Amino acid sequence: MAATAGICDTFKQEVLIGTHNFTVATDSFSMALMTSASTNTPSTLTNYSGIVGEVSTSGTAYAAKVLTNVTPVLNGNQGCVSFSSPITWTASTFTARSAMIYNTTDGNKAVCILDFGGDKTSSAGDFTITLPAQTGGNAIIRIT
Amino acid sequence: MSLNGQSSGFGLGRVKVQTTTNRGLPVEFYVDEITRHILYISDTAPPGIREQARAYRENVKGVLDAGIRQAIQSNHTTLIYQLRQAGMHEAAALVLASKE
Repeated sequence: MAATAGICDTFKQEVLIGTHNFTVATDSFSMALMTSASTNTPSTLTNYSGIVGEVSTSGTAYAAKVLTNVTPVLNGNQGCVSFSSPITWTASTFTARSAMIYNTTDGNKAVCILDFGGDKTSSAGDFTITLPAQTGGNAIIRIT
Repeated sequence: MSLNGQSSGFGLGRVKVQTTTNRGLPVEFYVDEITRHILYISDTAPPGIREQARAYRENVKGVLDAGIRQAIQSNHTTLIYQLRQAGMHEAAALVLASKE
């Protein structure tokens, strides 16, 4: 079992009422990692407090990473969101299968669940996530 | 979903995950990633412009590669000083011997 990837259902409504602002230096977003034990889905995950199977954050070494916003752009006919990347957990030893992005400025509301396609393991090394280019058809979050 | 014949909806991009064992990622990884963020070459760009952009991208990569390596060496200098100040001469020697 693993979390199901997708844009969280609640985000689709919240973005229409201006809850989330991805512009640089506005809302702050974070990324938390989940193991394959997670059962979260976009339809049920509404908030970081509902995360299941988060990678152990003992000692905070593997805790969620604060993301750096990149102001959304219009590329073709798609609104495109991105963050600075790579995002790296340095000197880490853990296994993760998926990640959750959430808005820490607005009550930790869920944005999306990302799937890694399989378990990924770092061992006394770097665990690095690279986001796609902020372009239509590629960006991490797109609205058409 | 289709509005007046135009598809619409939310999309989610694919992330790439890279992990290492007993070391960090090489400089080349960061050079490639930073370059990709600085310069995106559209597949639909005219061939001449695409070629110019590719040449420019190679120049950017060269500048980044040299700059990142210098920054790492400079940080090593700071680390070596701090380790020696703390009496950790063996650790300082290890940092001094590292290639990046």
